[in-house]
Amino acid sequence: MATAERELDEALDRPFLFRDRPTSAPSDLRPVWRVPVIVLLVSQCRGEKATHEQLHVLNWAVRSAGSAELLGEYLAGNIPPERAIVRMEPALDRAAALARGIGLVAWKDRYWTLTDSGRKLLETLGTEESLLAREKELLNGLPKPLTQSAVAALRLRGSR
Amino acid sequence: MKLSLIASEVVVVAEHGRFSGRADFGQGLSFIRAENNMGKTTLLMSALYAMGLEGMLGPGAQAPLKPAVQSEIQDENGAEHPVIESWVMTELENERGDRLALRRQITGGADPRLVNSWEGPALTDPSGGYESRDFYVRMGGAARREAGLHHRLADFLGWDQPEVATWDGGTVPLYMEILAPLVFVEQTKGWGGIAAVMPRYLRVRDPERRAVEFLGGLSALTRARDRELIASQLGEVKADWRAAVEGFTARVNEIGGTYQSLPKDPAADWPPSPPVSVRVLMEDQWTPLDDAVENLRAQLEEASRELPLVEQVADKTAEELRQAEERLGRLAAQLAAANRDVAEQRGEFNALNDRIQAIEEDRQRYQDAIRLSELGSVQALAVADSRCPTCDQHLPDTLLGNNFRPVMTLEENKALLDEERQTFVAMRTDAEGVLHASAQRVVGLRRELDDARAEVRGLKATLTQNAKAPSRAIIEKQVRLAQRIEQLDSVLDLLVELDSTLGPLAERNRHLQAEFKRLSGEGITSEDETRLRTFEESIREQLNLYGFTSVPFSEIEIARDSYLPQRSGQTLLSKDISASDNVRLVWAYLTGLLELARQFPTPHPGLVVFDEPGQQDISDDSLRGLFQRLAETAGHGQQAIVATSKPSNKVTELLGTSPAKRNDFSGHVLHTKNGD
Repeated sequence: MATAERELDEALDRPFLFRDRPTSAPSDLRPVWRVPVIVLLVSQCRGEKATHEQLHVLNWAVRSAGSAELLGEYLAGNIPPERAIVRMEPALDRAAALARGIGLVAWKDRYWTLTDSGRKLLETLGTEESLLAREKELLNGLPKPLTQSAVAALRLRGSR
Repeated sequence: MKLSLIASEVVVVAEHGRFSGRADFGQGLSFIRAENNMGKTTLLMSALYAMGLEGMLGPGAQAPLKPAVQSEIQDENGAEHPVIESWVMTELENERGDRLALRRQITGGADPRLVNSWEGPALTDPSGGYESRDFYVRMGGAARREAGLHHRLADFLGWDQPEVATWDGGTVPLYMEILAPLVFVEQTKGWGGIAAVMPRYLRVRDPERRAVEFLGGLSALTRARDRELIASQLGEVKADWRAAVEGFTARVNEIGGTYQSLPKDPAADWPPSPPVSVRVLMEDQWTPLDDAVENLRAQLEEASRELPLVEQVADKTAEELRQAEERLGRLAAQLAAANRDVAEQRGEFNALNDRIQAIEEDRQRYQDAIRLSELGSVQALAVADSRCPTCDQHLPDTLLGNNFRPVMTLEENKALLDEERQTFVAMRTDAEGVLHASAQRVVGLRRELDDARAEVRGLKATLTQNAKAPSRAIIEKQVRLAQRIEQLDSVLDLLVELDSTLGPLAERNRHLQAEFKRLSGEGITSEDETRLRTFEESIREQLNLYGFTSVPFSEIEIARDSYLPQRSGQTLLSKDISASDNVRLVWAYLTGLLELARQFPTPHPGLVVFDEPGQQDISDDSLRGLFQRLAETAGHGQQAIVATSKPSNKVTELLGTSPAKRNDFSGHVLHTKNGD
């Protein structure tokens, strides 16, 4: 036993080198992907003005085909609002703040609006069809524009 | 191919009387000259409207014309009169010298979606009796249907409009509205850039590129079309192949067999090596079909050798029954286990599918993220250790979580996902194979079980039979064996037939694949390259002539992918050059495309129409260059039409000795017969 312990001590008694390996991260937590999506979401609302709630509802809708379908069904009046339970996602708040920070959107009178550079980005996203194609497709499937009253009836769940 | 505007006339009927304005155009350069707000744009735009091309400006149903022809018109004394009715009539000529006159209602009277046409010079020589026909426009089918105006115009021009891809994956004809912005520059928005008013609502993919390819007669356009044709033929081969394979595998499944080396999708080589093999379960062993048939024939021969009486085989039958019952029990247990295997393997397969789908979604987003990180406005978000330009705070690598551990770069992360995807796809292929084999084993075992049950039944019946009767078990065995042999034989026949179906399909597939590859080759053909060089040369020469100074004109090239002007590989954006140089670039680009048709056969109509090219206080020297360059169209059977508000003597001065047809209006373009 004593020998084994000594062997272990010897094995450990040498310099260690810890190297920090970069980790992988889910794509939707990457600011460079998420922030342009915010611009798309704002453009989907009436007059290109979105309340924070609208942003969360649309964000939830673009996260999966299933949720987009639920929202579409609710907006078409086929299912009651209780069926479409919107998840609020803290990452969206960070992304919106960043979008504002780099001047793509502005926060004014409790609305998110597009700035000139936001609109320019939107234009680029419009011409580059294959860029964010899935997100655009999901949004296009929704009735446009998304109104505030439609959003008000939805129950929002999650952290805020 | 050529289209000339011969003349165009707008008529407005008001209570006060009839107002009209007309311009006649010649070969070469023609002018419509009038002061600002006197209606020259109306006259020019109405010609566009007569051809039903206003859709190039947007999807709206309202005619893009001034109130003077729609609601209220001012007379020479400045008094306003309500418009009762108005229309435009335009006369065109094609390469063969045929004339076509079009008349379209602007307001009042007939439906503006209906265009009357005459097969002759009905405007310049109204006395002739010409065949008349109505066409519709700005409605679905205007480009495709016989009764659509754009179908007729394409025919008149001798255009064979290619089908082009849309955003939603379909194809549509390359609409005239998409070509018009490269021929006709409208005053309010048209000078913002090259093809600044492209009608995107028509959902055509890359409309600018398609329009340049078409008007420049570049083979890239037909190449894309040929490629699509080959792709659809490849699709047919695939469908035929799959149908043949599915028909065959369905039969193999029916007999409880498995197959190997049979590709689901078209192969380029046939027969495959190793060759297609079919196996069936015999005594819980996968046996090649040939061997199985041979084995069964031997059994049948054995069973047919003699037909003993029950009393002769009573003892043997009892022993056989015991063995058969044992076999039945064993097979039932094996089947239950095989069913459990299938359920388990199916679960695994589905889980792999879900995982692959999630990876693919993630991967797509990373791909987007990489492209997005090249866009100026969000670049800061992708750079490591960058700071917010507003609050100067450190920008995080990810939206949630801490910054204690470094996060992979976008490219590294995508590469990781690529690898993961590869692994999981390989696992899925493996799982699919295992699942298929297990499912086939279940089918095979079930068949064997049925067989064993029938045997037990036959043996039991034999034991209770009259002792003097022939053994029922043996007769039944003979029948069962004969049936099974017949079944397996039919699959052997199908295997031969499959060879004769798939062989030719594989050969066709090989040829089509090679053709497809050839058409998809990188780069452009040498013929296209020659054309683009000529186009480039013409643009540079003109920019020099027009006094373009924002960047050295000699450094301007045409991008080989977007066909837009670029400098050192960067597209020349309007923000990079002065507003007046932007206008010069539009002149040079559209005129360059027109001039290209002088050296190469292209479908360009040999016409450009510029509404007020003297934008942005452009210098007289530049305009002089433009007018003189446009006047060269006369020598090539082409036409250039310019609307300008420059004073008449100024136009004369700028033209110098160049010839031009002039439509000078000293007051309102639209006037009553006795007025003005």
